[in-house]
Amino acid sequence: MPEALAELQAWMLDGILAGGAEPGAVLARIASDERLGAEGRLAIYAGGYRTRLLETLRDDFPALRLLVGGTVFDLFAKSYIAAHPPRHFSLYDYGAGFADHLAATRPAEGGGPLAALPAAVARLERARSEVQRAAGTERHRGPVLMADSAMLPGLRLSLPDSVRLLRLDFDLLPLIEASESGGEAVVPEPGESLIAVARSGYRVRQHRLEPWRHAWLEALGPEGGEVYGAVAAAARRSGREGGALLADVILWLPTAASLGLVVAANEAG
Amino acid sequence: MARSDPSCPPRLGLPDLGDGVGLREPHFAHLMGTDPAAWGVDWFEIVSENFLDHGGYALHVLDRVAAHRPVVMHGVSLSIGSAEPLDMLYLDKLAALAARVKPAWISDHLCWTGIAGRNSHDLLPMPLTEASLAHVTGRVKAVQDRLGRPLILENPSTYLQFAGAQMPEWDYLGRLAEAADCGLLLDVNNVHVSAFNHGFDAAAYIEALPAERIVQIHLAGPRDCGTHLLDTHDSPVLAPVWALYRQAQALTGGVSTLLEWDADIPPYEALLAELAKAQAWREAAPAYA
Repeated sequence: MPEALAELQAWMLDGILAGGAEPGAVLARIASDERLGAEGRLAIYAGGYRTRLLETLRDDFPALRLLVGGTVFDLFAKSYIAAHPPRHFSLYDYGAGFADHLAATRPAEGGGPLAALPAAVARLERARSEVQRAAGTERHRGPVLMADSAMLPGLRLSLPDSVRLLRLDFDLLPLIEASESGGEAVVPEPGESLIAVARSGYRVRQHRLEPWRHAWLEALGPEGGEVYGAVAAAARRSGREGGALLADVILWLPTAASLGLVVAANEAG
Repeated sequence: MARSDPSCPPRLGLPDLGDGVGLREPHFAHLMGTDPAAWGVDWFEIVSENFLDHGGYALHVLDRVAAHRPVVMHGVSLSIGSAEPLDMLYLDKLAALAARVKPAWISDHLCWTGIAGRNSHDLLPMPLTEASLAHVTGRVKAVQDRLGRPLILENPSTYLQFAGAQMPEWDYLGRLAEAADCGLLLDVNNVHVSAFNHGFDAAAYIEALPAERIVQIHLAGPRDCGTHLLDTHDSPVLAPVWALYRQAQALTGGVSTLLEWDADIPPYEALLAELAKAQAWREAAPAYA
């Protein structure tokens, strides 16, 4: 690696990440003229860096922005940008750690249960972004899953890449709907909410799930599982009787497949 | 001297695709709901990173577009000028996308985007030195070996130049293209922006490039920030940029034209109206040679 080039580039990137505040040695390496000095020229890149990342986060988390307002959202985002310079070649990856950052930086005291709300909203919106881009079920031409498919011996089902199962502490769906429709913010109600984010026909939707359905999908997982084994696991987790749960799975399977929640294991995306 | 290598065919032997636009999300619905015969453009350019690791609707749209028009893959993350090793995972993904899209060519920028694992997601300027030229030449060759095709490199807009430059940017680009046997994507708006920002002659820049290695031209509109021009791709092409476009088309004998519009994106019909000006400027071209 050419050391002089590496040193110069590290200096410049330090200057950009520092917002031009402490560019140090790099300023002496930048040509300037009467119209624009070295500091002003470096500041163009520093400003562009922050604006680009800020706009990326605004685009990726519209419901959180609607909920907390633009000023507070930008404080959240700038805190994240300062703590987490991008490391991936794709900007789509940048928001991956935003929810964890919000959870880690929430006030230690005060704020009540709503203090956990921004991280929860960010987690759901990140799941939506991932589902939007994941390989979905639209291109699969596998068998149509009918009710009696569940009774086929040895049938294995799995979650496509385009499914995320979430266990949240708020009912966030009204907020998401308001964000999508351009409506006003809805403050979410606290309470456990079991959600599947899935895609069907290239449209991303959130589905509230009963505990047994969430448990059954979780038991199948992206790796796939045998239907009866997953039913047994879901029965243990949800406290339901296995036979009744199997009957409900049989009835629900066509709907779950049409929503893009499950596929035959060998056709998972 | 525009043609410096008589043995090199015009455009490196790549086709003149005609007039195209960037494939952008706001136009997906129009393109999916319209007969391809009515799309009104000869070809499309994609931002490669928008489709890497993508299995959703955007890829579905791209498949349809690629079935009906030539597509060019234009990247922003190759970081060909970085001092850190090439990102082979990125190159693998680029190659996989190319295998699917079968692009007419693959392009990126003469720039670096990050160092030591940190990525600015910006097209940062190169120090114009012999050492960096040798470094980038080797990397372009390595990328071309991996992709099995010539790389087409674009001149970026720049807002600073490093002290101690040993050559102007046009010399750097021309020497790079010849040493690495790669192509050039001449962004005439970027030439205009950088010329304003650094005080050089834009027409002389274009005149000095090896014309036979110019494969494509980019058009776009910048923003006037008073002390400098910013490459924003959010407005119509400026008159001085059209003049540079006419000059470049005359020098090259005709290469593919692409109108970039990435912010405040207008309706598709308005985009076509701006693109249509390209033909008018070409037809107004004086005999240049």
